[in-house]
Amino acid sequence: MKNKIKISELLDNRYFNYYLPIILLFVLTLFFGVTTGGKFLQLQNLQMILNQALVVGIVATGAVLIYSSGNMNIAMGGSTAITCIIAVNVYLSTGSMLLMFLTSVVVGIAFMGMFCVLSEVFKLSIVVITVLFMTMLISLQEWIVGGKTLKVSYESLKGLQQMNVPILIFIIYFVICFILFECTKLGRTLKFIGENKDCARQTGIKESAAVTIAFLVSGLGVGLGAFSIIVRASSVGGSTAGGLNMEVVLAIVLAGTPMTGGNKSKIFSGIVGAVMVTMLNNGLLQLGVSSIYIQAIRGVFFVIMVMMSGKRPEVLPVKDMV
Amino acid sequence: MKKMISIILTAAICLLMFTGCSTTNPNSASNGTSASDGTSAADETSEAVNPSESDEPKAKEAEPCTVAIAVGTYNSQTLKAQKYFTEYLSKELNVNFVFSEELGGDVSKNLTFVENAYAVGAQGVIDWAMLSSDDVVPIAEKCEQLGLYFSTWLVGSLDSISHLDHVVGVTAGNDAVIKDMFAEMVNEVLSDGEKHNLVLATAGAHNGSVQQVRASVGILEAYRDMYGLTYSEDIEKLAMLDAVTEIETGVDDVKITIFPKFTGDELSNVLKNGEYDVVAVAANLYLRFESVIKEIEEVHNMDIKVITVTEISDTTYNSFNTLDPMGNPSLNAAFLTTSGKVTLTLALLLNGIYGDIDAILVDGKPATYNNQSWICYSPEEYEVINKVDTSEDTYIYNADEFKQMLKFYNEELTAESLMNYAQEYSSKESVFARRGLD
Amino acid sequence: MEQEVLLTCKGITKDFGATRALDSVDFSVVKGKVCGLVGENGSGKSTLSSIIAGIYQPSGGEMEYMEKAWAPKNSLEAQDNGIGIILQEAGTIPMLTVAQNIFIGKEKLFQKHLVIDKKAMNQAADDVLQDIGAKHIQAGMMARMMNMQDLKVVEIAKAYNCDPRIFIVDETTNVLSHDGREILFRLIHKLAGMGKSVLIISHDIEELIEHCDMITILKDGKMVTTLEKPDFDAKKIKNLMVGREIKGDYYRGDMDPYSDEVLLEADNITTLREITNLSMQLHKGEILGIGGLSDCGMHTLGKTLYGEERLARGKVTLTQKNVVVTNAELAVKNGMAYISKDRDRESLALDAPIFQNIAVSGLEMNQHVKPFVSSKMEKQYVNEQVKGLDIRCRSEYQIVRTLSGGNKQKVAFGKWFAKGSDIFIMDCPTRGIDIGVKQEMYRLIYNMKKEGKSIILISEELPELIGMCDRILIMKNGSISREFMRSGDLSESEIIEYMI
Repeated sequence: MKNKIKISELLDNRYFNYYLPIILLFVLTLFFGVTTGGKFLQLQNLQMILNQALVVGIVATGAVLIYSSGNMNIAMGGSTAITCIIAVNVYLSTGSMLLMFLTSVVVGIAFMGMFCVLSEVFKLSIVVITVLFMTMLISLQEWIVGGKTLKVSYESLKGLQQMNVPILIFIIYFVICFILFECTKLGRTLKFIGENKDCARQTGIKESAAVTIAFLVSGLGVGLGAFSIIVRASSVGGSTAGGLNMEVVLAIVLAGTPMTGGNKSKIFSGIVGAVMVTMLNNGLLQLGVSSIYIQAIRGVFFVIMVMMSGKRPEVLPVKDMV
Repeated sequence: MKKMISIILTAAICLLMFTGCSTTNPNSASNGTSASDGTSAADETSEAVNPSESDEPKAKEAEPCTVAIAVGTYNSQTLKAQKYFTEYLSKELNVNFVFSEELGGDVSKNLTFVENAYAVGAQGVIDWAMLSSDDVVPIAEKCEQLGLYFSTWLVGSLDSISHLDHVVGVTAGNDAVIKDMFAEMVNEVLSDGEKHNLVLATAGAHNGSVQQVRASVGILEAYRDMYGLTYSEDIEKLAMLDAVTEIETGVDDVKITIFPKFTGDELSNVLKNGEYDVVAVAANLYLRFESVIKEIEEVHNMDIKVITVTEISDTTYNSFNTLDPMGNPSLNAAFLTTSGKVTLTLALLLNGIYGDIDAILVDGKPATYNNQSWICYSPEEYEVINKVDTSEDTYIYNADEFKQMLKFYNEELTAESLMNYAQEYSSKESVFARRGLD
Repeated sequence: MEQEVLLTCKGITKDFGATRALDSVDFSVVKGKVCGLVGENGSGKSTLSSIIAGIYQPSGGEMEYMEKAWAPKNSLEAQDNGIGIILQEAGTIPMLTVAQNIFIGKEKLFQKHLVIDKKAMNQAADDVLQDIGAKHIQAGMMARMMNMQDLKVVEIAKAYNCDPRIFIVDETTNVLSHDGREILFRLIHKLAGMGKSVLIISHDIEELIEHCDMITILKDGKMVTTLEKPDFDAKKIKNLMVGREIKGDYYRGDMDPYSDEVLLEADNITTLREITNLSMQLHKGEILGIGGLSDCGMHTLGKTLYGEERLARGKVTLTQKNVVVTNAELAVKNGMAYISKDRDRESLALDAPIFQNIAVSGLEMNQHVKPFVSSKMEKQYVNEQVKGLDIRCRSEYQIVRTLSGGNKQKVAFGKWFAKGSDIFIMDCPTRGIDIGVKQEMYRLIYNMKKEGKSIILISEELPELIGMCDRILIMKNGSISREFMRSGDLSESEIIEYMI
C-alpha cells in the first residue's frame, strides 16, 4: 500500500512527469550501450541515430502545437511530399538551392494556411479538412511522380550534408517552437484548449486564432522537413514521406504528449520520440533482433507509453462519494 | 481490470502479427556480429558441372561476414529467397544475413537501414527494395561513404553508379533476349493462323523501365511479323505511349491497343466490347487483370489468350490450373523470373567482400550479369517449375554450385566465365537436368 | 413513547484506503419515522446510508435489522430484504421503458408462457405511478426520452414498488423539480403513515426541518447528535454541522444600495430556445438575482448575457462601453466573467492543475515584455488567489479534479478575480458546496459588491436569492414574470407564486 502510494505520488510530481520521456531516453541509451558492449554509444552511431530522426523530429515538433490543442493533422505526410515535389521542381528549373529552400518553407506554410482557410470557409472542423486532404495528397503524389523519381544532384547536396544542415535546421526550428510554446501565451492557450475547449472559450480564448497560428508554425516544420528529406535522400518519389503521419504521431505519443493534447503536451516530444524510435531500430538490430520483431516491440512500447500517459493518479474517494 | 484487458489484448495482437509471417525464422544471431558457426566449406566432392572448375574439393573456409538485404515487400518471391539464404546458404557459406523491414521503395527508410546495417557490422548491402533506377543512386552512394559493398537487381541503375568503387555489379533478366522470348511466346500461343486482336499492357514502359520496353517491343515485332503489319511509328515509341491508344496496324482486321495503365477497371473499359481476344502483359500485373478477363470471357462467351510476366508462386500455380469459363487454361504463356536473379546479387557481393572484386569487374567497372528467365506454356510444366526452390534438392544453385561463382572457392573465376556460368546454370533446361526434374 | 427500532448500527466504521469515512458511528432507524441525515461533504452521511443499503461493506462494527444480524453483501440482497435506496446518480436504464425500469429484475411476474406480457406490465406500472401521485408519467415511454426529474420519479416508483421497510433517499431532492419534490414528500409521509421508515440525506436543511421527525448530524465521520422535532433550529443544525458557530449573518445583513448606472442591458432578447422578449438591466454595484423553476430559462439567460447563446432577436449591450456582446471573447475583453452551473464541464479544466486554471485568464496581463509571458508574474497572479480565497490544496499544481467542490468553485472564482473583472454572471455558484464554504462565498460576493462590482446571481435556492440580492427577477417560461426588491419581509411563498 505504501509503495503504491509512493509510485503514484511520483507520477503525480509534475517535474517527474514532464521529464519522464527524457529520462526514459537516457535509460534506453544506457541499456543499449551496455547490451552492445559500448558499440551503441560510439559517436558515429549516435550521430547516425540523430540524423535518422531529424525529419520526423522536425515535423513532429511542429505537430506538437497542433496536437496540444486537441486537434489532429493527418495530412502531414502528403503535404510534406507535395512540398518536396514542388521544391525539387523549382530547383530543377532554377538550379538554386536557396530558392528550393524558400519554396519548401513557403509551400509548407501555405498548405497549413489553406487548411485553416478551408476550415473557416466551409465551417468544418480542421481535423476533417486534413482527413479529406490526406488521401487526395497521396493520390496527387502518386500521379505526379508515381514510378518516377525527381532527382537533385548528389554533388550539390553533399555540401549541405557535410555541413549538417538538417541538424542546424532542426535546432533553429526547435528553438522557435520552444519559445512560442513555453514562453508566450500561444502554448498556454493551445494546451488549455486541449484540456477543455468550452472552458477555454468561456475564458475568452479565441480558439480559431490560436489553432491557425499553430498550423502555420507546423507548416514551417513541414517545409523544413521537406527540405531535410531532399538533402538526405536527394530525390523525391512516389513513396517519399509515406508513413510520416504515423511516425509523427508515434514519436509524439511515445515521448509523453497525449493524443488528446492538453496540459501534458511537451514541445520536446517530437524530437525525443523520433530519437527513441530510431534508437530502438538501431539498438535492437545491433542486438540481433529480426526486423519483424523490432516492429512488434515498437508497437508494444507505444501501447505502454500511451497507457502511462493516460494514467490518472489513484484518487481517494472524493467528497461526492462520502 | 481495464489495464489487465489492455495487456492481454496487446499480447494477443503481437501474437497474431506473427501468424502472418512465413514459417521460416528470420536469421537472428544472439549478438550482431558473426553468424552461426559455419560448417566447413565444400569438403564433399562437387557434383556440379563447372566450365572453369578444378577437380579438387575445396577445403577452404571463408571468414564469417555479414550481409544486409534491403527488402521492398515480403512477397512470396522474397520469402523464398530469404529462406534459401538464411536456412541454407548461411550455414554453407558462413554468412550472417540481416534483413530489413518492408521498405516499400522509400529512399529515406532504405538509407536508414543501410546506416543501421553498418552499425551492426555488415560488410555489404544488397538492394531488393528500390523501384526506380534513380532511387538506387543515393543508396549506392551511402554504401560507398560507409565502405559497404553494394549490388542490386535494378539494371537501369548501372550507369549512374558505375563510378563507385564499392559497386560490385548488377543482375538483370537478360534484356537482350527478352524481346525474342516474348516474340516466341506470341508465336507459340497464336500459332493457329487466325487473326487475333491484342491488348498490350505495357505497364511501366512509358516510364522507361527497360524490361517492360523490351517485352512490349518483342510482342509488337512478333505481331508485325506474324500478320504483316505496318506501324505508323517507331516500335519503341509505340511501346512507350503513356495513354490508352489503339494504334494503326495497316491491316483492318488486326487491332492492337496499347494499355499503359495498371487497374482492372481501366482494362475492363478496353475489353468490354469483346473485340480483343489476346491480352499480353509486360510486367507482373496479371493478378490485377485476372478477374476482369474472366468476366469478359463469360459475358462474351469467348476465350481470351493471356501472355504475361509473372512470378513463381502459388498464385501463378492457381492461375495456371484454373480453367476459364470456356474450359481453356486461364494462362497461356508465363514469363517467369527465377530466384537466380537474387542469388546472383549475393554472389557478386560476396566476391566484393572477400576481396575479389577485380575478378568480376569488366574494364575496371561493374557489369551486368544476366539471369535466364523461363517461359512456361502449360500447367503440367508449371507443376514441375513450382517444385524449384522448395527444398535443398531443388535449389537452382546448391551450395557447391554457388561457390563456383566465388573467386574465393573457384580460383579461375573471371567476369566472363561468371557471366557464362550464370547464363547457363540459370536456364530451365540446366536446372531441370541438374535437379532431376525433367 | 416507546419507539420501535427497525435497524441499529453499532460502532460502524468504514475505511477507504487511508481515509476513515466513518468512525464508530451508532445509529438507529425508527419504525414509522422520517429521519434526516445531514452533514457537510466528507461527513460520512452517504457512506452510512450506503452501508445500510448493502452498497458498501463496513470495515468494522455491526448492524441489526429486524432483530437479526444484518450484513448485506450487495444492494440486491438489501432490496430483497426490504431496504430500498435512491441514489443521487442516474438509476434508470435509458433504452428501457418506464415500466421495464420499474419492474427490472421482476419480469417473470408478467411472463405468460415464454413471452412477457407488455400490456400487463405497463398496466401494473401505471398503477404504481398512480399510487405515488405521478400520473403524468406514461408507463410505455422510453426512459431516454424523459427529463432528469421525471426519471428520478421513476426511480422512486421502482423503489416504492419493492415495498421497502426502510426507504432511503440520498441527495435526490436537489435534482427534482418542484412537482417532483411534492411527489416525493407526499410519498414519504404516506410510507411513514404505513409504518415504514424513511431516511433522507440532504443538504437542504429547511426542507428537512419541514418534513422530518428527527435529524441526525454527522461531522467528519462521527456522529454528533440526533435532534427531535421540537429542537429543530436551522442555525443550530448548521453550527453542529460545521462544528463551530457561524458568526454573523449567513447571507447578508445589510441593505446597502447600488448605483443608478446601468452597466449591462438586455433589450428585448429572444433566443432560439427558452427566452422570449426579455429585457433587463444590471446596475453598478448591484447583486441581481435571477430565480425560477429549473427550466424557466434562467440558465440560458446567463449564457445569453455572456454571449454564449445565439440571439434570434434583440441585443445585449454593455452600455457604458457601447459594446454589443455577441461572444465570450468580446465579453471577457470588456470585463465580464461567467461561472457556469456546469462547473466541472465549463468553468474548469478538471485534469489541469489549479495553476493553469487560474493563470489562463491572465495571459495578456502577465506579459512583462510582449509577447513573452512572465512565469514570475504568473506565479504571483495565481498565489494571490490561492491565498486570498483560501483554496485548500497540497500545492497550486494539484490537479483540480482532486479538489472538493467548494475549492473547485474557488478556483473558478479565482480565475476571474485575478483578472479584475467588473461584471460577474454566476450560475448556481454554491451548488453542492459545504455550509462553511458557502458562507465564505456569500461573504465574498458581498465584498465584491462593496468594491463596486456587479453580480448577476442565478440560483434555484430561494433563500439564497432572498438573502443575497438587491433585486430579484423571477422568470417563468422564458420571460420575467416579476421583480422583487430586497426586503427583510420577503418570503419564499410570495415568490413561488410567480414561478409556477
